[in-house]
Amino acid sequence: MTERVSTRKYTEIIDEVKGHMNIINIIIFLALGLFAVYSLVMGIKERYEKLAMAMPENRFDQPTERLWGALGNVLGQKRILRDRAAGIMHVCIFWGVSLFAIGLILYILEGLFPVIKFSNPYFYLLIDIFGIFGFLGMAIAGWRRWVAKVPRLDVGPWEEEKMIVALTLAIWTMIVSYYIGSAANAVETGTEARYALAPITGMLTNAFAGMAAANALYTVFYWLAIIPALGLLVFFRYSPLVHPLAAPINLYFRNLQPRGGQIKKINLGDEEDEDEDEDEDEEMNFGVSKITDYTWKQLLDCYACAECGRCQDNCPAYLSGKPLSPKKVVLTLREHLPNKGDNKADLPEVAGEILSEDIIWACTNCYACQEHCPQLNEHINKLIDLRRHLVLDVSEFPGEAQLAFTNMERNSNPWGVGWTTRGDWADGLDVPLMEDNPDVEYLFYVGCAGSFDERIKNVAKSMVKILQAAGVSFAILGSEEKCCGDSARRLGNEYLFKSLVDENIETMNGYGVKKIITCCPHCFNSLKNEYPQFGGNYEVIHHTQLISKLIDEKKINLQGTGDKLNLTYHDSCMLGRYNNEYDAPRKIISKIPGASLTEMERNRNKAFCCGAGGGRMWLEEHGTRINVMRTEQALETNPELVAVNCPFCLTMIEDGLKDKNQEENVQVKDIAELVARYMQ
Amino acid sequence: MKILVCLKQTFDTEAKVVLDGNGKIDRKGVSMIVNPYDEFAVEEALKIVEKDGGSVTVVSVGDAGTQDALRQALAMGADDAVLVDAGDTELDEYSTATILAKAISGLEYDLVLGGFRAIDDGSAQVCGRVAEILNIPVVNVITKLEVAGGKATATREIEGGNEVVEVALPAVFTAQKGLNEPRYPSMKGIMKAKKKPLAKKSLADLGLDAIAPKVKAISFSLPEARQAGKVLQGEVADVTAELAKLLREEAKVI
Repeated sequence: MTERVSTRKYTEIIDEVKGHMNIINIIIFLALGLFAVYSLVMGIKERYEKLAMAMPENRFDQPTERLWGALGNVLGQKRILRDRAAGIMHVCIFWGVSLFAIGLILYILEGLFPVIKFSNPYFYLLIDIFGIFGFLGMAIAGWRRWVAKVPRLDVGPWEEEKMIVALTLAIWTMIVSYYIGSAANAVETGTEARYALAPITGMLTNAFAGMAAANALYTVFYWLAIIPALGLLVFFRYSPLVHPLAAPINLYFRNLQPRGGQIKKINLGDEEDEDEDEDEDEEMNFGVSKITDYTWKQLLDCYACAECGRCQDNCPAYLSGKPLSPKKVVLTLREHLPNKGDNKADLPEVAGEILSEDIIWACTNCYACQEHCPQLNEHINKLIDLRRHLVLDVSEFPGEAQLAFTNMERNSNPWGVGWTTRGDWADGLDVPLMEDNPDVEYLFYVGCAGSFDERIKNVAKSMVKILQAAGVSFAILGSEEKCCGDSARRLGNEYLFKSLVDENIETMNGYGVKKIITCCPHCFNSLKNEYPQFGGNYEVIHHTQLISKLIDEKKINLQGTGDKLNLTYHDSCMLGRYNNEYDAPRKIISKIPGASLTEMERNRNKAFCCGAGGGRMWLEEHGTRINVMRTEQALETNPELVAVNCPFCLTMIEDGLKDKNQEENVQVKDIAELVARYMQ
Repeated sequence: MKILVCLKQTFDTEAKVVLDGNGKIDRKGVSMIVNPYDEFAVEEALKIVEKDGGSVTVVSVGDAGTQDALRQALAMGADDAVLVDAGDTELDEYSTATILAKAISGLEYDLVLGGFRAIDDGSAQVCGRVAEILNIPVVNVITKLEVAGGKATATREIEGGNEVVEVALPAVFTAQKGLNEPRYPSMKGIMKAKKKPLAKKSLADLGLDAIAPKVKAISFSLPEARQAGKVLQGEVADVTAELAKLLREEAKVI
C-alpha cells in the first residue's frame, strides 16, 4: 500500500514539476555542459600554463587606454575592416554569431525550463537576422577559402583544413538547428506568434503548421543546436584555432609604445647587480635561445593569430620569394609552444632548429606585417630577439654584418670610412660646428650616409642650402657625431647600439642639444623614439617636416623652371609606418611648381619597403631583389623622377633603376635635393 | 695543448696618419685595433683548442692602452693575457722580439702563433726573431694548420703556389689572410673577458734590463698628396702630342 501511495505522489510531483522544468533534458544537458565547460576551462588552463613558462613582461599599465583600444578593435572591428571584403565577412561572423548566441541561450534554457517564456517578436526577428549574418559570414569565409582560394589564406591539404571544415559545419548546424527546432517547438506549443516577424523561423513555422511529428522534430533539432554549441567549447581545447578566445585578450595587452620605440632595452650587465654576477656563466642569454625566453605576450600573439595572412601579403621578404613569412613565423612558434613540465634545456633552439637563420635575417623591419595585422601582433621583435641571440649569445651571423659591426665600432659608421673625416663633406659650405656654436637652435644630425656616401652627401649639402636660405640657426657635430646605431640594433647588436647611443648622448647633452634635424628617417626614428630609453630626450624633426614648415612660413620660396615634372613618391618605412608622417613630403611636392605626383599602387601605410631596413642595407640579398621590385612599382607610374626621404631608399632605388637600365631616364632625388633645385 | 699568441695593437686601417710637431706619428684621436693578422692567429688558436682542448694565452708588448686589444682577444675566447709594459723603451723588431721571447720563455707552450706581419710597420720580423731566440722552428705565412701527435702540418704560401710543411712542436707559426675568418666576440665573451686574468708585467718583472733598439727611425714622411688628374682638350692630334710630352717630361714614364 505504502509503495503505491508514494509512487502516485512522485508522479504527481513530476507532473507538477514538468510544467516548469524538463528533468531528463536537464540531466543530459548538465552532463554535456559540464564536460564542455570542463574542456574549455582545461583548454584555457593548459594554454595559460604554456604562457606562464615564458618570460614576464609588464603589459598591465594604462588599463583605460588598453580597454578602449581593445574595444575599438573587438567591438568596432577597426583593423579588420581595412580590407573591405574580409572585414565584412568577419563582422558578420563576429557580431552575427555572438548576438545569435543570446537567442540560442534562451532557446536552450526554454528547453530545460519550459516555464521560461519570452515572446517579444522583435527579439526573435533580430536573432533570426544575426543567425543569417553568422551563417552567411561563415559561408563567405568558406567561399574565400575553398572557392576563391584567396592566396594569403594559404589553403592547405585536407589534413590541415578539416578543423576549419568542422568549425564551419558546427556553426552552420547550430544556426540551422535553432531555426528548425524553434519553429517545430512553436507549432507544438502554439507559440507561433513570437516568430511572426522572424523571416526564417517564421517561414518554417508556417511550413510545419499542423505537423504531427513536430515534437520529435523539436527534440532532434534542440540537441542538434546544443551539441555543436557545446562542441565549440570542447573544440577550443583540442584545436589550435583559439583565435576567438585569445584575440580580445591579445588586443588588450597590445604594445602601447610608439612604433619606433618598441624594441626592448636589455640589461647588458653594465647596470650591474650582484645577483646577476653570480649566475652569469652558462645561462646568460641576451636574446631568445629557447621559446620560453620569449615573453608571455610574444607567445600570446601565436594564439591570437587567425592566420588571415595580411602580414605576408604585405611582407617584402615574402613577396620577393625569401623564406620568411611573418604568418609562418607565428604559426611555427605556435606549433612549438612548450608543454608544462618541459625542461628548458631539452627544448629546441628557436634560431636554427625551429626557424631557420635565413628566415631570421630576411626581415627588413618594414613594419608592414604589424601595420596590417588585425591582432596588432608583434612579429618584428620576435625576429630581433633571435638576431640578438645569434649576435650577442652565440656570435653566428652573416659575415657582411660582422663587417658593418666592425666598421661601426672602429669608425662609428657602417661604411668604415675614417671617423675623423666625418665632417669633411661640409668643407667650404660655411657650416658651423657645435663645438664653436653650442647655442644654435638646431643640431643638424647628418647621419653616416650624408657624411660618407658620395651620392648622399649631396642630400646633406642640399639641406644646408635650404637651412641657410631660410636663416635657420644650426650646427653640426662634425667628427664628434657617431652612427645613430639603428642598423646595429636591428641586426641584433644591442651592445654596439648602446655604446654608440651612449657616446652620442654624452656629446649632445654636453652641448645642451634640445632640437635635432635629421635627413635620414633611421636616425630620426632612433633619436626620437629609442634614445629616450637611454636618457637622450630631444625634439627630433625629419628634414621633410622642417622643410614643409619652412615653406608654410614662407621662409623658402619655390619657383618653377617652366618645365613639368612627373614624379612619384616613395614612402620610407621609418618615416611612414613607424612615424606616421605621410603628408609633409607630399605637401612639399604639391608646392613645387609644375610637379605632378602620381602615386604608386602601394603607397602610404601600404608602401613597399626598399629592402634596406632592419640592417639589410649591409647584407647580401639573394634571389629577387626587393629594391628592384619597388623600382618596378615606381616605373609603372611612368615617372621622370622618384622622390624619396631616406638615404637608404635613395641608394636602393638608384640601384634598382640601374638593374632596369632606366638610370638615364629616371632620376631619384631626396625631397631636400628637389627643394634645393626649385629654391629661389 | 698550450698555445701562445703574440698580438700587437695597431692603428685602424682607416686611420688618417698625421705627423706631430716633432715629425713623429701622431697617435691622438686614432682608433686602435688588434693587428688583423694577429686576429687570424687568435682565431686559429681558439679553433685548435676548441677541437683538441687546451688553453690560449695572448701576449703583447705595449702600454696601458694595449689592454683593449688583449681584452678583445679574451672576448673572442682566449683564456688569459700577458701585457708587458715596455715603459720608455724604444721598440724596434729586435727589442720587441727580445721582450716577447723572454715573456714566453717563462710560460708553458706547445705552439706559438702570431700574425705574419703588423699592418703598421709591416716588417714581418718579430715572430721569426722570437722563434730564433727560443730556438724553435718557425713556419711563416701559413694559410692552413693542422696539429696532431706532437707535430704540425702547415700550408704556406710561396710564389706561385703552396708549400706543405711538417714540423715538430713546439714551433712558431705566422698567420696569413685566408687562414680563417676571425669570430666576432659574443656578449658572453665580452662579459667574461672582463674577469679573465690579464697579467701586467714590467721589464724588471721579466728580469730584463733596459734594451736598446738596434734600429732607429730617423724621420717619417707622409706620401705626397695625389694630384688631381688632368683632362686634355682640343684636337686629337694636338692632345696626343701634349699627352706624349707630359708623359715624358712630367710623369717621366716614357
